Amino acid sequence: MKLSVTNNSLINDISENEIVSGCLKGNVKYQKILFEKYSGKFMTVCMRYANDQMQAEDMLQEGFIRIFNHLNQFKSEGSFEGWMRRIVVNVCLKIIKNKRINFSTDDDSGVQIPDTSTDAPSHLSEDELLRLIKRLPTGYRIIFNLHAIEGFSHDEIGDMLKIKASTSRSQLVKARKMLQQQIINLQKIAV
Amino acid sequence: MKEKQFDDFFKDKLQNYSTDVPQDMWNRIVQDNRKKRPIGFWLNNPSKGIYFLITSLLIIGGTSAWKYSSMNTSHKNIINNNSSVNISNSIKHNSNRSSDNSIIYSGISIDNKQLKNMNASKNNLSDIATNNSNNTSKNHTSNPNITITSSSEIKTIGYNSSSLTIKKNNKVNNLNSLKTTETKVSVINSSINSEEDNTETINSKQSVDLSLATTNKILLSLSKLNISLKKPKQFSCPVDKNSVVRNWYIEVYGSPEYTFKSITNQGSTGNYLQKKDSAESMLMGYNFGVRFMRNISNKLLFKTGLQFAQYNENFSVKRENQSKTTTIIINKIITRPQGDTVISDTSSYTQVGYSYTHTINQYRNIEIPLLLSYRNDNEDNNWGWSVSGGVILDLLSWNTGNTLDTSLSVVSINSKSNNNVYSNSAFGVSLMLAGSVERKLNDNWAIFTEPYFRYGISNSIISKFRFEQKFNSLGLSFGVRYKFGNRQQY
Repeated sequence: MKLSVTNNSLINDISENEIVSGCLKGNVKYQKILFEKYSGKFMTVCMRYANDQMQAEDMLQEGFIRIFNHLNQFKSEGSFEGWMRRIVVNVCLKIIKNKRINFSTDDDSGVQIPDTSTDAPSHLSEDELLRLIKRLPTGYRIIFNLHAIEGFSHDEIGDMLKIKASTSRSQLVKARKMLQQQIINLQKIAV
Repeated sequence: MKEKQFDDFFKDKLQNYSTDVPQDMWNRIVQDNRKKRPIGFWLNNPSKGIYFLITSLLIIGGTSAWKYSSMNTSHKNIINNNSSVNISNSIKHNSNRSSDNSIIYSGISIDNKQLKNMNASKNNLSDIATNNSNNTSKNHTSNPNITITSSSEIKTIGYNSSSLTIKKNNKVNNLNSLKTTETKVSVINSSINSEEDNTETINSKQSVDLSLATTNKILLSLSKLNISLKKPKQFSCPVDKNSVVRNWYIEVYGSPEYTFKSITNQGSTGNYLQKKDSAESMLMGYNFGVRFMRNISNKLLFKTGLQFAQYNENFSVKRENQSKTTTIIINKIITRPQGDTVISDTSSYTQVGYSYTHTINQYRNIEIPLLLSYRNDNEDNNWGWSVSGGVILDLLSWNTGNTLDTSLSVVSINSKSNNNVYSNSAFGVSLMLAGSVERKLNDNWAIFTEPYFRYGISNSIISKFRFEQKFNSLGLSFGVRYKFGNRQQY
């Protein structure tokens, strides 16, 4: 297929297999289609992990380079998007891990999460939620992202970050608590 | 809100949410992707490609040589040394006992591929048995049953001499039931049928004196049968003092060089050489290359390889009273009713001043080092040192730049030009003396640094202005060395 312009309709018309095989041949146009299709989503992923916008951009850049260079390792067995997302997450972790992350090991298993009404945060937009996550300390942020959004278990997180599963649990509790507190504060301001 | 609900709320909101991406992100990715492309970089750069090709060929050649050497060594080792002693002793010990003699032997295995070769060489076995049968009689049959087993360390040849069959006409009809297993247990069950008219019999109950020479012949025969006598797995036995660890190494290195030039006058004027000398001064050069090393003895190694060296020289000359004449032609057209008239006015002017020429002369060589190295390498110590010495032969030389001729004009020394100002010696030789300190990174890898001095024996450049010149240099190499493996020869 000869491509001259990449736009949304064209991106949607091209099947995932076509994009993958085009990218595997090193065709830049297909790489660009892949980029345009997923860059927004992956930018959100990077924003969730990064400390700032610049770091998120670096993560996205490095993530796509890795995707293009390791595409031959994709075995078409699972979700292509999931495979790419995992690469991006790994890149994010690698970049963050270059800076020392402090995972406090206090046992907070008994901490109660402040109760908010079920529909309380529903009015919050995605951007506001992103901002809330960004305000979390790095350790909390990583573990909340990995567990709550990416869906990794604490054992898996422990393996990935070389920490104990109990530490991961503890960090998650603290992260939730902090997020809840932030949401309550936002509600107070709104009232 | 429950924990799960709380997490899911974030997940649902953010998992598929798209954020704006900077406009230039794609261009950044494309540019960065090009920079990080590690494979095939040489395709876009022919000069890098040549170096890559040379290095690849050397590595492939070295590896092949090592493999070939490895195959030969395993044969020699076992036949000539350890195994022959074990077998002969064992045969002597058992030969008088009964018909079921066993030969204790280590390190024999037989590949299926070698079965074909065995058929071609089967005469050897019958020759040996014939030669060693003191009591022979006609019309007998025998069944040599050679069992070669290996239980990781000890292998046994069961030799059923009671039924040893040898064909007088040196033909073996059957060689069957040969198998090898992954545990290196190999069995040859070789039954050799006799023909009534031309066979000789060995009575197994009679004592068969298998002397040391005989057993050696059997082993030689086995080797002719192309039975691969594999090196036993590595044992952590103490190394014999007389053993030689024959390791192959490859080392890649590079070095900055401080070079100084030596000129031999072959009939040129002193004034010219002085002017030339003042116009030229040596700069830092460099070399890099790859060397293969192999142990001659435990401490002594032979090194050879290929290296590239470049000597740089600053050439600058300022020539006074240089005059330059410029001719100016002015054409004037005078238009008149009678017609146009063209008046040409030619004049010239001469400028007197100086001219300044500056170039970096480059003398390049591709060379073969032939070095012997005494190496103090203690297995228990990560640090080691060595002293090396030997010759470096010029394989190919060429130069670019300028020099002065006898009229003190600037002339090119480019090898490609046809003025033959400089011709490279056909046989440039240098002596090299080096000391080296190395640090092991692991069992195979080591880094090293090597200060060295290099003295040119022969003049590498012969000038048509009746002088010759050579280069001496001091350098400090930095490199990395890889050891291919440990092999011992006794």
